[in-house]
Amino acid sequence: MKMKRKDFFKICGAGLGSLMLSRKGWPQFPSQPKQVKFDFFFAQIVYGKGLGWNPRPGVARSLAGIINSRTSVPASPERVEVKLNTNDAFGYPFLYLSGENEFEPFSDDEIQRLRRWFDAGGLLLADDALGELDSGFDRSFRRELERIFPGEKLRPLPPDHTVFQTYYLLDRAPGRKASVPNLWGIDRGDLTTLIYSQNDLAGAIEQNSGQGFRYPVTPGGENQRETAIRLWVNLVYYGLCGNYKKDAVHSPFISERRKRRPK
Amino acid sequence: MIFKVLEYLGVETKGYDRLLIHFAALNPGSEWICVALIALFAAAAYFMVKPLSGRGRKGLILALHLIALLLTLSLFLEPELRLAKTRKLKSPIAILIDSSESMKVRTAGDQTRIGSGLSWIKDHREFFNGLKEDYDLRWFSFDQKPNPLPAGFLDQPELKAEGSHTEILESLSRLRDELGNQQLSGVAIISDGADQGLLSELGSPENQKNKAGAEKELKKNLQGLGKIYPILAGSEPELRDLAIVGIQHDGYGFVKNPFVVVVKVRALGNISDQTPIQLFQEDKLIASKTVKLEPGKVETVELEFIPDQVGRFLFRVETPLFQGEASAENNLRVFPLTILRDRIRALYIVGNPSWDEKFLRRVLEKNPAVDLVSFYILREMWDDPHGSDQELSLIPFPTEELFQKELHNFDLVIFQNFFGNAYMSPLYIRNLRDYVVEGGGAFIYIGGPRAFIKDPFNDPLEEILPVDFSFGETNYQTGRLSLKLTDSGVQHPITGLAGGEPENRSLWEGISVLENYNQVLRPKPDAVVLVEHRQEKAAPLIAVREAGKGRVMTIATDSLWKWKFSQEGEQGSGKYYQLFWERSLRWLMRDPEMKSVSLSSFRDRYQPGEEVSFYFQLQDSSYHPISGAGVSLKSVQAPQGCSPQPAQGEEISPGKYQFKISLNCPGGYRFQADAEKDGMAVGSDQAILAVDKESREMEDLSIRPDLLELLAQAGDGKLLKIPQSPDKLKFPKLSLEEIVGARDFPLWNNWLSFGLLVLILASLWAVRRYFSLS
Repeated sequence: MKMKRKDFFKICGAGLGSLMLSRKGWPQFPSQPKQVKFDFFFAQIVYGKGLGWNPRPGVARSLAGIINSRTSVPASPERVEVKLNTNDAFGYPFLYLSGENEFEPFSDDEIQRLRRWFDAGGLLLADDALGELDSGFDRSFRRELERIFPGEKLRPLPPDHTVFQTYYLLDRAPGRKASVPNLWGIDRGDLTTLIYSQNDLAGAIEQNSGQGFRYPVTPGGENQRETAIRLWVNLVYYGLCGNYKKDAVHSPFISERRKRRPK
Repeated sequence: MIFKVLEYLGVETKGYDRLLIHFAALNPGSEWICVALIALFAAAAYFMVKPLSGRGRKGLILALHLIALLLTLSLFLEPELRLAKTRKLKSPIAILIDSSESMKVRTAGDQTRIGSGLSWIKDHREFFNGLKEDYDLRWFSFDQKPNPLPAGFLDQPELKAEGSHTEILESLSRLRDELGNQQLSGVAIISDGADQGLLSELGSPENQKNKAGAEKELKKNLQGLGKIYPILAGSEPELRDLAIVGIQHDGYGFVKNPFVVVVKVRALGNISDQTPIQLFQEDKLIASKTVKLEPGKVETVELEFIPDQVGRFLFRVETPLFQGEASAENNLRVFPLTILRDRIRALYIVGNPSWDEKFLRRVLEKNPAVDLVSFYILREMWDDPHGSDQELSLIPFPTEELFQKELHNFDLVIFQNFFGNAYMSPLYIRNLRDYVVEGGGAFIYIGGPRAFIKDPFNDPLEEILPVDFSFGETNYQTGRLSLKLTDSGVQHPITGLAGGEPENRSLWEGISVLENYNQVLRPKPDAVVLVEHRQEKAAPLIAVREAGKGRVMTIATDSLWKWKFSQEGEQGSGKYYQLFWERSLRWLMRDPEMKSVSLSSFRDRYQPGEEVSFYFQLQDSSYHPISGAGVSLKSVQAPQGCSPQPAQGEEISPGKYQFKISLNCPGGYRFQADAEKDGMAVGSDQAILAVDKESREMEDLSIRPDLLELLAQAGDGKLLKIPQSPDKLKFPKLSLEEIVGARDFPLWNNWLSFGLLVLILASLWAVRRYFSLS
């Protein structure tokens, strides 16, 4: 089997860690297994005609690089395309929906299927790739939300929402742009089942293959990009772990760190 | 006058002193025939009278109908003129002697209450013999109902106090039935008044607030009984007794939650100021309180303890037995109690976040009985978060705290795709093994790339799992799984989710979305493989095992979530995934309803001497019934001085056996059923029960002159206290007689009656024609 770069780093890291741990008195170094499967797939909703659904085609690979290098979760660099007129969505509890412009309404069948998908426990991340208020995508997306969640409104996620502390401690939610200071969401029970960003989250992390990031980030520059990267990690972890970081055992640590962390 | 007419007609009337009208055909159904006839005639008269005008015509028609009705009734009822000979009767008096258990309490002069009553009767035999001249004396013993005493009772008054319940008013009511509702001249009741029925209720302080109402109710119950003379047997100053008069507690207790047993105690006479009330679980003292008791007053004591073990136990409340106590049996109460697990304290360790973790966590979070403490490895040591620890929400993995100090506080540990070598000392894994094997903890091991790794670090884990690890180099494989429900899985509570065998096989074998598995795994000889997956050869996917005192479950895949998520997409419900986990938790927690071998009795409490039926459900570890086993029942704990005989069981349906025994001694029992087949032990279980008198007769031994006084007032009599003279018993003489001979003369069975009826009916017909009625 071909060794992947991640595996190579893991073995090197393990060797280094072994030395460090043995100095601390740990009894034995782990013989870590090789990862042969991914726990996170970037599944993106395909809708309409043309490529309006796919304004940031490199985001899955970029995100996988971030997740694989920063966390314990093995993420697939390949994007999975999910059409709502099939049951494909029920293989992927995390879906990504993006666009810049207005799009055609989903069919009733697609709306029904999406509702079932939400009820089953899926998390949808919607991302306005234009990063501006009242974009065509924003209008269409809100229209579809009315159909999926009749009578329910998007509400801003509060600063103490789990998504801001699943991995990194965050207090902002920028993307390529920072048009809106917060994320929006719709809850099901004690979990947020839909999260919406109007700041082009994908634009902040998409890379040209080996050429660095594709888009500049405004107005905060690279600091803002790092925050956006961290937000992506947190979003993936929120999808995977839900409210794990709301467990009582975490609260005092998180509270203390929030007080001390550098601004 | 009529006698003279009869004599004139030649009827011999000598010796007869009564003339009566008697209806020969009167029987319980007669009144309905009469009602029907009256209705018929009334309707006929109404329809005939309605079209008529003029009072005279109407009157004539009505009169004819009335006469016709009377004649017809007489044909049905067959009236007779009866000449009767009568005899005067003595007025009946009933004398009731309380034979309930409380009457055996010793009173003054080292005599029991019943003894003092009987002596009093003996001492005043002359008085009662004198009464016999004018009255018909009937002697009864009573507790809940009167029982006639032999004719010669007065000559040799002997009676034992063995009745279980004193019910004075109820006994008087049944006395009336016993005597055929005959009017009584009066009743004398020799009793201590320690009533357990309606009288004590009417005499309670609450009812005495509405004294008039209580008295009215009392009088209603005493109707027809004449004068009531209660005679108090027993005196209190000499009585010394400490009694548990009541116990209250919830039906179930929960482990690690305070449980309160409310005990009511009453002291009579001189009892120690500082009296300990103690609560035992089996033979271990678990709570005790010292109380100061005032004679005659009920004290309520709350005994609190915190159950530390799940199961069914015999508890007993005890008070000390002081010298000279009237009764020893009311100083002890036994009760069986089931202690349940209120919460499942689960420790959930996850190697890395995944969808399998997400959906299992949702199940655990939604279960209100689960207290979840979870730790996920969010970052490996080689991961670079590009920030300081202060910028992260990660916390240290407190392995020492969890696996060294707190492990025993968890009921369940779950490892999901977790290999602990990097995070914890091998000692902790050994602790985990001991926690299961010796501590009876439960453990779930879920697959993934980091699970089932053959490594010395995992050796203690492998010891307890149902499967051996693979020795091959590639442990974790990808690929779609094809499932097969094993024969063991068909009826097992974890996988038997859909009812019958075909439904269960179809349910599991229809799951086609699972992928990725740990190629482990050879089942251990005592493992129960529930679901297999078929790759090159069948391999266990879900398996369970009893590991020492604990239970272990392995799931050799990390894709079970797909079952739930895809099922929701296709069918709109992931209920079987939910049910599977709920059942798994219950089985791992040894839910009593999921025992494969269980001994149970129909009830918790039985009366002394009552037949007890035990049912012994015998199934193998796959929950298949074991038929044809030899089963026996023996007592492993019984009240002192009692040793119930062992019993052999009878198979009443496949795998279900029944034992029947009879237990006489009050107290707590623990029985054990053992089964063997082909010379091998195949199952054993224990059950507990209490044998206890339903009656609380001996709980409160105080005499109740107040209740007897109420009775005397309502019955227009007087309360006497032994040894007072019975001279005050004054009963009215009733004029009662009985018919000793009779001659009947039918009034209906003659041509005159029939002729008259025909004449009236003919007249009616003629009048109808005359009045032009159809």
